[in-house]
Amino acid sequence: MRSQSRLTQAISKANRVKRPARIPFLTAGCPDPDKFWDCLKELDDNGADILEIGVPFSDPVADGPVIAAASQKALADGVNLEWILNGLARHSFRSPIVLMSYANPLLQYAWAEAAGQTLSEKVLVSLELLARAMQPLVSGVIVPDVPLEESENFRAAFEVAGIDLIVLVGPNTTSERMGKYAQVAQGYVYVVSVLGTTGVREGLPLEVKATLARARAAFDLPLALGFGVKEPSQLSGLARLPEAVIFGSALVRHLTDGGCCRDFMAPWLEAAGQPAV
Amino acid sequence: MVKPVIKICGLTGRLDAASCTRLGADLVGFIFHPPSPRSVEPLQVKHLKTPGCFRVGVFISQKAPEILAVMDQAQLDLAQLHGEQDLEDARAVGPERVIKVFWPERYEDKAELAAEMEKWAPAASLFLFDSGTSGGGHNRKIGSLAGLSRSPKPYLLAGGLTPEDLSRYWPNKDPMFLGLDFNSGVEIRPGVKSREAIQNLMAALVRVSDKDAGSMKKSPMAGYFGEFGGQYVPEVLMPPLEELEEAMSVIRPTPGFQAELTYLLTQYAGRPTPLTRCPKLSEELGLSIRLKREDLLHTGAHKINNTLGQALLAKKMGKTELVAETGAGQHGVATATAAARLGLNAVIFMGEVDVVRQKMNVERMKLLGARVIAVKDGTRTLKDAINEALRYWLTNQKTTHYCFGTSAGPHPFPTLVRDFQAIISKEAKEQYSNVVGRLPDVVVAAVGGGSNSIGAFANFISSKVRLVGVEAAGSGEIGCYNSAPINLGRLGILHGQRSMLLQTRDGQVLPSHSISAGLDYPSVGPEHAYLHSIGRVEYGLANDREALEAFMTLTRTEGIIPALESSHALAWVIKNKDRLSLGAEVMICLSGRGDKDLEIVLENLKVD
Repeated sequence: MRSQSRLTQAISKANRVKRPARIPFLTAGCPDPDKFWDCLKELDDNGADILEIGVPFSDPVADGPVIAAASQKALADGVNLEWILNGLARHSFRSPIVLMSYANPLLQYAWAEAAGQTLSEKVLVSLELLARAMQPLVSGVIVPDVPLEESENFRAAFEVAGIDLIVLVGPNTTSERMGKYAQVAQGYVYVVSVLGTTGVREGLPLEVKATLARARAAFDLPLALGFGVKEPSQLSGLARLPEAVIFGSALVRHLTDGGCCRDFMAPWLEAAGQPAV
Repeated sequence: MVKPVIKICGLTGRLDAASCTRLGADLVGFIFHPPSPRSVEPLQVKHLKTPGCFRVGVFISQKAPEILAVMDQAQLDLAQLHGEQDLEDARAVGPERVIKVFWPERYEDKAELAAEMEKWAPAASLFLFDSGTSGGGHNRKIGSLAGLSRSPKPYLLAGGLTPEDLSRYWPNKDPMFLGLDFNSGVEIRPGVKSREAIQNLMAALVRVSDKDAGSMKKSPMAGYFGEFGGQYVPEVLMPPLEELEEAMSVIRPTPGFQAELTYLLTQYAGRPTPLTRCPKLSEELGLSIRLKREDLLHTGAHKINNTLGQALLAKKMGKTELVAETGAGQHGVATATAAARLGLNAVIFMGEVDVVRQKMNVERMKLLGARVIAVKDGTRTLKDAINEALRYWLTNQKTTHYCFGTSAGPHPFPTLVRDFQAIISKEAKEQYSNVVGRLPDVVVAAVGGGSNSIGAFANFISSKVRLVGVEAAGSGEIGCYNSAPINLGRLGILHGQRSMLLQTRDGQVLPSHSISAGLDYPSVGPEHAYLHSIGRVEYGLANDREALEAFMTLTRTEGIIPALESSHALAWVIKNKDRLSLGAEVMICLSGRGDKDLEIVLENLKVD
């Protein structure tokens, strides 16, 4: 068995001091390409435990308007996976890095160099070349349009490079299906709070509790709650906190409205003394 | 385990024979026993056509010579020895042609039955177990299956069975248990079968077979056509896709659903559509050109075949709303129409650019009661409308069905849409047989997402007919935006499918272009990508100008104004006429009428 994932370790470290791990998400090139790396650094210095970077894609079906717009702007600014990997090679962060990317940019990254007898073989080779390019800059990858059934190639390619393929489960994922995911999950489990695309929501609906409870029973890994999380107060209704929280849309909106990363992270640092994990 | 073998016994008339055949019975039985109300004469049976079924004669008092004579006259495959025949008779008929009947209740104990079965095993190919102690079952069920499990031969079960009994006996663990024999349980009165009962039986058969398949481990390549297809969607869309797949296999095959759909297609949409020969164009091109006239359907295009099917399915699934994407507006109108007819809400997403370009269709959808939402993201065309419709479905999946417009997207949509559009080639095949006396030499259809073309190809794929899909080459200049992913794209993932895709080097989807809005899509259904990869279908190109010329040619020579989509198919035939043999029978799928395109055509052509 491979040694424990950097991602699992980063979350456990936060949980040991009785707080959920904080995972800010930022679309690459947001708020603009010149400021992006500084923003990421600021998050890293102000309480982030893991950093998620969104790879822009022309057709982001799982994202709501805020991240979709950031993605579109980044593409117009010339941001792509290569730009991200080059940037990661030039910067160093305390927190491990997770990339969130739709399947196609991952598949195409090394397509021109990939050789194979059949298309399936070429797909696998292309993903292996990508995994090599991501190593050791990237600790995990989330592919929102790759469910369990399509994940084998991705997992096989990333596993060799020691990169976790993070699974997503949602309020309509049955316990049975979570059980299947549990057999292959690595790093942490991304729990989608509500049915819908990414975006900030006012409260956390009741069904979040049920989803978390089912996930808790199915997985041995830390749970990271995402989709709609903005402030610590939203978690107050939960009897038991998730091991980690992901904030995406709220952060992206905060930055595109001219805010800074430190201000966004401040309430989370203040709340660090709240009920234990 | 596979599906059970079904025998329907006691047929007397042409209609019953036809309905058993059509509904897929494996064996049909005829009773040669005058005292029975179901008894028939050999010559009568000879004229009952039952293609694809094994024909069984049931004999009670006859001995071998008479049995052989009847089998010959009535053209039977098997003899069911139901009474006074002995081993000698069985050997004379030929063991491979014998079904031997047993009445387990006749025997004192299992051992006695087992001994009798051993005795007959070398003389028969199949056993049949009936209820009671002689004759037919006559509404009495067989007492117990115990003892049958030691049958040395594969066997059928009989005895007053009804369609409802199927799920009682199937699936079954006994490898020798082959299937069921129905007679009085599917009759209106002795000798007259009930069509309804037989349909119920076949629907029940589909249900038990699917239950069977479902219990097996799902193959990791489920939903793929070769290397293409799949389900590249967010996890939270998997449950509604699974729900849809289940509805496809459980609800769709039922006689009730099929009857309702047939009614809508014939009495509401206007099927069957004609196969129109084009005399002047044929002469001009030196070919025999026939058009499959989907343009004559309600709402003016083939899209209605699919939306009626999906809307009906959605309704039976208990959904109250349809969401759909639309480019030119044809699929949006067809969805709004089906929703209005079936009492469902409709929400249609349409790119902002298309809302302006296709104002009339927007008004039509609104008149029909649909909510039309303009999409302002991305290229603000069809692909962005699909993104937005998927997001809407993701959020509203409990009440809403995504009525996908083309044979693309995540599994099971490519299969579902193909199945609903396959009626195009099903009719065409029959029409060619009736009118021309043979199949066409070539079938040509335009390919955008690929629904009219896959419908036009589906029933010809297993034949030798040459199949040509025509992609839109845009302006035709090198490097121009186009809609030809098979010819000019490479493997990629978009909208839930792995297929051919127009994209940049780093995997961003390129804007597509065609003068025909219905072909304006950067990817293509996975089955087309597959048919291309195995060389079964060739994919040609036609550009905007060639399509416009073909549009004018058909309008002027035949008095038919074609949609610009279909004009691409026609354009390919015109420019390749010399590569086709003289007088070849060419079918072109005329997927829609061209009224909607008049503005674009008038802008681009000077029409006198």
